[in-house]
Amino acid sequence: MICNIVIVGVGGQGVITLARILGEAAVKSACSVLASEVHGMAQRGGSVVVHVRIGFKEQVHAPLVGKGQANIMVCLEALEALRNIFYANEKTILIINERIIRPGIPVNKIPSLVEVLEALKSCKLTYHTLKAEDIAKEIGIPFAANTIMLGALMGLETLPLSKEAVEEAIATILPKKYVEKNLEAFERGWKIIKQMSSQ
Amino acid sequence: MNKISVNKSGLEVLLLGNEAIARGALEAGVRVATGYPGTPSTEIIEALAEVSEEMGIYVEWSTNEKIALEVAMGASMCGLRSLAAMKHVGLNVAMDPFMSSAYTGAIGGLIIVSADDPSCHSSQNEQDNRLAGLHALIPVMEPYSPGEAKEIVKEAFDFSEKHETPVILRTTTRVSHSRGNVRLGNIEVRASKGHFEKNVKRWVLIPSNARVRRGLLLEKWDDIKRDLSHFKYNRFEDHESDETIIASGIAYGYVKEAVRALGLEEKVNILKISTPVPLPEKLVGECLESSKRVLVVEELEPVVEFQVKKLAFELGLNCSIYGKNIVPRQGELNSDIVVDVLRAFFKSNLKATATPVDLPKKPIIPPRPPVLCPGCPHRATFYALKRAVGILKLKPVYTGDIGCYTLGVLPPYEMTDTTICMGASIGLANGLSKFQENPVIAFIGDSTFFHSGIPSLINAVYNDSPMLVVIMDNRTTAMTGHQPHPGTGVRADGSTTASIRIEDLAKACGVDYVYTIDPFNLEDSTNTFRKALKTLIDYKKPIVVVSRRECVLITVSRARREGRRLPKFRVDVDKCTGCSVCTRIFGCPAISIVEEKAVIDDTLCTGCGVCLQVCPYKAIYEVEA
Repeated sequence: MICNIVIVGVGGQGVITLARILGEAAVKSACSVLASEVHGMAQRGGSVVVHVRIGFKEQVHAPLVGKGQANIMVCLEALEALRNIFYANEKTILIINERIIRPGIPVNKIPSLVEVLEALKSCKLTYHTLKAEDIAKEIGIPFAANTIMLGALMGLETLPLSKEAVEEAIATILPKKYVEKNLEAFERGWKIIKQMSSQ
Repeated sequence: MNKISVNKSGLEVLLLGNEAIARGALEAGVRVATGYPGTPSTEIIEALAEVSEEMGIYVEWSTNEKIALEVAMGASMCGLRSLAAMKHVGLNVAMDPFMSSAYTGAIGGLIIVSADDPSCHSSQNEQDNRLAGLHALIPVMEPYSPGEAKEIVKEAFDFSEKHETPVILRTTTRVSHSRGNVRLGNIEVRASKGHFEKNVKRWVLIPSNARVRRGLLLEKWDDIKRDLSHFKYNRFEDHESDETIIASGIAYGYVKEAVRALGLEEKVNILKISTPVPLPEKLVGECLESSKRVLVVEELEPVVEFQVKKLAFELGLNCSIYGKNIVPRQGELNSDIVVDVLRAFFKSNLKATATPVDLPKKPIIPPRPPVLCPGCPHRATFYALKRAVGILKLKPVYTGDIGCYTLGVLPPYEMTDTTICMGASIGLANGLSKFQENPVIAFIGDSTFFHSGIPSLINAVYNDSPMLVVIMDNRTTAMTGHQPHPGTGVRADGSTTASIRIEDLAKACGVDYVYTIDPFNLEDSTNTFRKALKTLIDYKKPIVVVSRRECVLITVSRARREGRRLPKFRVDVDKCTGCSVCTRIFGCPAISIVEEKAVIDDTLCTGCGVCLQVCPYKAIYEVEA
């Protein structure tokens, strides 16, 4: 079984870190993994898309997720969710951070969150939304929205990775002084999705 | 970054492709590693620099790629295993020693890593440097994953020494910048000093020697071809089919995925090629003989394809060979594209997998290109210069260069009329200033100026080309992730060294008018630009303005590390008229207009305070952080 995860957001939101934690957890869980990033020119405040492909008892040969091939999409920003929606098919589960970041160049009109979610509904997609920044601020670690989203992703319990493996990866990768708060953020995201799925 | 010096053989870890290459070099006993930063190659040298002291190896950021290769060649001449890493266009800069290195060959294993960028994710072109191998007669090895990259680096060092040839390790963005499973091996420690054996006939390429070396090179090329047929990572996956897919580098991964998606796993042969140049002719010939139809899948140029076709012709085979007639020649491949290619090759309607969701017609999603960061000093430099240009009613031609400031091409500044290659801002300005009427302003970053700006500035003085050169000194090589350069006083391994002052260099090049500004002081910067532009118009000489202010990402991370808070700003809603100068003209991404008032987003703001100087109504003020 291969699980295709597409993570989208804006440069600086911690998209690459999120993918790295997943990859680390996958290797620790004896899975085959390829995660593809883009650095440099494509990074600064621009759209960021990272593909993570995790193979459980099956080898992953290529790093990119094809159109309509995502099992899960984690969207740290709502406009980016819509921009990359072609990675989804009708069965794809989306987790969307309720946040719109305005593009760095002057633009005429920025769609509202309501408009974006309406559009997703019209695509007949299953999605969960959460306000990751607000929760992160509550915990006292405002830039950990990505970890909240990671918790939410793991709360779906569809990946071949244990919660503990991801927690261990968080502790390995993040700077020591931020680990505790990030584990708290991870737990919060996990619980929120659990509650949503049980409703 | 992952620490690549973990000495636990057999352990499986997650590494970035570039870290895997660095690890492979350590396991092969590399002693010298050099490079110039460039996406997607940068992390190879970064990873090695991080462990250089611990491993007792020599790692340097060279001033440019030509020098990086020459340093590595020098080490190889002394018998040390050495590696030079660069992005694909970096090899153009290194092309001169590169072509000659095939003639002189290597003593210590010499690996030239060329990290290519199909689809131009972060580059000005998508040249395929496998062709450079054919051009120079230097073998090319091409891994398809991080795990394989580590192993092939080791093979490449052995191969290089066995045949006394440099080897190109060619990666692409999706190999260099993918993370994947890597199984660690033993790190090899070798002597760090060698011996240079004088050999005029070999090392001195005067014409009489070069002619002899050329002959020897051609003989060697045939040996190399023969040997590569036994190369461990070239592999024929034989399913006794009449049809064979030949796939090189990462295309092999996409072929494996596409074959699996279409349920063709047991129905077609796959020939995996890891040495596209020169083609392992014996191995390929055997596959061709047992196939009626052949499909070559590779990214970009038909490098393998035309060698396969030549070989089939020489062997008198009449199998039909498909390639770039159905495989795209532009951009990177992916499994979707290869699925389509396989459908075309098998002329079949094999079932499609999941259907992608269609993009809804509404709402329209605004574009989000990369932009200068909030608090980026380049933005302030552009702003001040634009004001000065406006006051003087000039219509300059702006030549840009390679770095974050290339983003000056975007609205609201639109102050970049050309971007060609490293150093071309000043070079082109030499031409543009002579053959049209408007003043020419060249933008170049600090690292780029050291890399290849200096000879062009000398040319401007020597050949009297009037121009304003703005050297945007943010004290680092920013775009590639903050590597030091000769102006920073720091080396790749973090040790301190002399810092070369750009103003001194400009004066030494013969420039009479050299100014320095702090772009965060808008008033002073604007006035200095006005003075510089007036001097340019009056005296028609090269003028240099050094705009010096540290990259804001460094400022922010230092403040975080030291537990200092950044300055904080607020908008006085009574004074703010919603005029949008701060968002639409200055273009700060941290400010938005909400209900006709400016709002500063604290999570994005870095506290540069330039907006306070920009606001015509003095509506922005500093608050207690």
